[in-house]
Amino acid sequence: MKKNLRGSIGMAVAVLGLSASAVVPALAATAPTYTIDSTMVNDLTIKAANAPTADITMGGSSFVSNLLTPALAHYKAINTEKSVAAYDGTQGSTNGRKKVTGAATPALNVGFSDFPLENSGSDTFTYTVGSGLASNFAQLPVALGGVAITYNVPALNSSALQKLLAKNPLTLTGAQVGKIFAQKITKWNDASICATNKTLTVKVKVGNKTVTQCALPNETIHVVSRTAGSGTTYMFKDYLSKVDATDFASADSAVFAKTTGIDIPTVGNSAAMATQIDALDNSIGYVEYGFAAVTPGVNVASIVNASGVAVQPNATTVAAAAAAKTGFAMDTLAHRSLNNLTGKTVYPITGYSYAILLKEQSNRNNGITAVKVLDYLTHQGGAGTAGRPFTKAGTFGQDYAAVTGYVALPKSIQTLARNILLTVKDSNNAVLLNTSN
Amino acid sequence: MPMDQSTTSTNAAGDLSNVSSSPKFNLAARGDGRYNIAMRIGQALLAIFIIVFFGSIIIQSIPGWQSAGFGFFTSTDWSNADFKFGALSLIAGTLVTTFIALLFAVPVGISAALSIQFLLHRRLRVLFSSLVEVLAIVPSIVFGVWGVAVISPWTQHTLEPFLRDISGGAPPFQGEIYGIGLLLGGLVLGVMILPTVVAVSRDAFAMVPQTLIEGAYGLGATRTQVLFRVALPAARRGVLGAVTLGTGRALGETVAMATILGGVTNKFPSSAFDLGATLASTIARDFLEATGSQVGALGSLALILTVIVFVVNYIARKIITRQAVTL
Amino acid sequence: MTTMTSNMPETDSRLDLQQLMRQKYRRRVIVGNVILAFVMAALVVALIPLLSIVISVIDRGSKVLSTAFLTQVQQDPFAFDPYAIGGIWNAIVGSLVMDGIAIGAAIPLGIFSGVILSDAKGKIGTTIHRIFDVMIGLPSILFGLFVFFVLLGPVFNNAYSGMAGVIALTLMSIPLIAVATESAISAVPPTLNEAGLALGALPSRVMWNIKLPAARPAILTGVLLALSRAVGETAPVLFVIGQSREANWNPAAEQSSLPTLTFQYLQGFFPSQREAAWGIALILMTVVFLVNLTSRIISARSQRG
Repeated sequence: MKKNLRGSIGMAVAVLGLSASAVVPALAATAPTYTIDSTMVNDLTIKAANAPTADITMGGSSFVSNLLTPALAHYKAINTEKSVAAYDGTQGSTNGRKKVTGAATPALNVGFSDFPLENSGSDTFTYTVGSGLASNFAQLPVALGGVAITYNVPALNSSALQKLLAKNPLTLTGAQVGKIFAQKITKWNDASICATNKTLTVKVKVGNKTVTQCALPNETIHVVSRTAGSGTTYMFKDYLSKVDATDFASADSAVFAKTTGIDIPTVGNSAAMATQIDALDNSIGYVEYGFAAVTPGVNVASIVNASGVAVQPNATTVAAAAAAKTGFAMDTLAHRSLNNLTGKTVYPITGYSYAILLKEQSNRNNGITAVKVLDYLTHQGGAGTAGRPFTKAGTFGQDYAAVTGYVALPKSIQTLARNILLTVKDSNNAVLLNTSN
Repeated sequence: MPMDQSTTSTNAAGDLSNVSSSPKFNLAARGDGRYNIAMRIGQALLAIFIIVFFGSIIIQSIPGWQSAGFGFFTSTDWSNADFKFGALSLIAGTLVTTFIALLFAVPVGISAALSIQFLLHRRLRVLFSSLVEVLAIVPSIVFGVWGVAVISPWTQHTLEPFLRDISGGAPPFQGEIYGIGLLLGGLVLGVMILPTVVAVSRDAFAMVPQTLIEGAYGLGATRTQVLFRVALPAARRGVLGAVTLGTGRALGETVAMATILGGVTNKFPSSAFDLGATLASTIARDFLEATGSQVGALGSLALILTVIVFVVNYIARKIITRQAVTL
Repeated sequence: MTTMTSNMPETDSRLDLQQLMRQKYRRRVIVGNVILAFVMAALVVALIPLLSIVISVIDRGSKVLSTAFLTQVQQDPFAFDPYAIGGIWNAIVGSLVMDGIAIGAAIPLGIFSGVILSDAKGKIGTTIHRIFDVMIGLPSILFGLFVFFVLLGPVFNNAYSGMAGVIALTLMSIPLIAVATESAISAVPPTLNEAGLALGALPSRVMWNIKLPAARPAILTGVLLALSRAVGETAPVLFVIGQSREANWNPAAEQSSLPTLTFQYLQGFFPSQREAAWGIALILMTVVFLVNLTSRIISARSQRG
């Protein structure tokens, strides 16, 4: 009898032990821990021995140009050794992704793109280390921005109507925006648009009576699109796929295709979009929120968000959207998307722009510079956020956000960015982001 | 610059190449052997330059033909980002805008050149020709933005509705009015090539022998007859050269057209009011984001453009030669 | 000239004949004057868009001009300081360096090519001549594409370089100068050539000492035309020189140029950049206008002399 009990207890212990040895590492794999060096918060410098032989290159999306250019200039001023070249925003998001991939010496050290690498479409790659995108590339959010809907309706330019619009800007629901850009709603005085803008009325003489009617004219809506490959289009179409799934199946950066007899002109960037909207009567288009913030005379529509509140894009509403996102992760579009979140002050067309670099940096010094610069770019130093923070020590990249037409990354995203940077290693598997480097 | 060149085989004065075949004059040819060798080498170098230049255009275009096949010419579906390569709408857009540009620039330009050369006081000629040539030095992007910001409101509110009304909506003047589009593109292009047409035509008119003109006046011709029946025919080779140069510029304009035409690459134009695109403007627009076979497709567009320029020049030269023979 | 139609009845008196002739003459004159009015009107029509653009450029461009604008390098403005665009010195230097080297190289190469063209006979020679004529009118973007495809990889290692722009501009200018040289040479009076040959000079001497000096004013006109074209062109250099914000006197470095900066700024993010673009256009147009005027005066003077 004692023998049997001892045997069964021994069996039980063995089984427990075996299963524990399987379960515990599995648990550990799903919750990686990183040792975050707490002194890294104030680390801006690169040790002389680790400086690259030539400035490292960063380029790609134009969306982030206005943030990166002053931020990188400040970083270079601190590091009198070689560090980073001026940001090249002329290449576009597509080149930003393509030029980072490939062998040990990519054409760009860090690429910037409004949408991250996907293993599909024009982004299919063969990998050298491990399998799957995530094993080979570190992709992290670096800038937070939004898309503003801009329009030009000459009939609304009378001073009386301008006064009304100043109090209650032209408002569109998400579904209406979708239908407009799919050319299903074709006239400005469509019943649904007039219904959303009940205060926008004029008094018109019909026969002998004076009638109050919708101020929006009976004119065809001219949609203007960006050229193919635009990250702004991508962010916008992701939103449209959520509010008007029948017309927009998924997010992409293709031009808006026409579905009626009305052609859709394409323009190269936000400035060209503004010029075109200005010159074309009854037109509607979309620009980066930062552009609308710095350009006077751009009419921006209010969009009804998922909580039913009509909001204008501004720093507060865009930040609210970023804050409202739970469970952000880089792996899928659904996890990355900030569009159409619920919250009273949330602006519904919002998103991040990303930086991409190889996880295995064959050139150690280039790698150290790249991760340090990206760490600098994705954090706020907290030293002097009002006025001109640039000359103060401890100014980090995101301190420039508010003054360049962007919104600073939320703290959780800043930490996430650092976590991702900690996975970038050299060919000897040593982590590059380190205060001792 | 006058485009005359001898297409017959008579030698220019001072040319000794025929002479050297005669034994008596071998001395001269032999004595300048180095010069002749230098000329032969020079010709070879120029030939190499031409072959390398145009050869590279052909080679770069091959990936485009391979991926799209003959559909390149017959399909109107061009979308570089989606790897669709039907260039028909681009070819049509190029031809339409160039045609409209010539419709404006040829009558206005030749008449302006006639005015400057024959109707203005001698002292005013330099001033007015310099004025017209100021148009030649305006950067193309300025034309593009000026076209969209300043002129498209006029075409949108005035010109295009007017054309639609007087033609009753007949084919070239139908459809939606955007202000920008092929018509505005053609007009701005016409303004851009105007200085070339005026300057080169004026040079051609300046070279008409004074005796011819005075003789015509002496026979009792009116001013108009002198201009159109004496000066213009006498200068027609130079004038045709002017038009050819202008056409070449119109065919190849990139930046201004990229801004003004609206960049619609997937439909065959059915109206002058339509949006569209040209070969050159599409190359400029799609180039920075193109990779792999997309670059090859743009190379194919470059090849088509080059071929069109050569064809235009060939036609112009044939017209000149035919006129010379019948004269 | 119009011929008189001979449909006069035999029995007309001399007075009727004179009346008929006067009528026909008057009609010719009136029609002629109407056509003349149209012809002069064409000059006016040609000048209207000119006025519109020049007024726009001067009006918008003069607002941004200042010594600081010309002497400082380009800066990037921020949202709270949107007018801190600095100046255009980097583009001025870039244009000076690239255009200077390009024309400097294109002049001897172009003149040499022109001499070769004038000597070229036979099928091959004529073909080369004809192709060069076509190359003058070839779209400038093709030269930029050539440099990008053929040279940027092997020679420049895929890096932006001012020298790539120089090569594109040089290649673009050579046919222009060559054809101008060739027509100037063939326009030299044959008596001069024959006199030289009769004195026993070799053809190379005739070329160097007689034809070229006689053709010099026309060659100069061609050179100035090529220069003004090179200064104002965006397309050949747009893809290959980059967008440097520093004033690099070293031509091999990344460069900026006046037309490419105008292109960049006209689509710039900040309104201050878009306004500055008109200022650059104004400077560009003034410089090229002066170059053109100089060439006009030189050629007018040489025709008189």
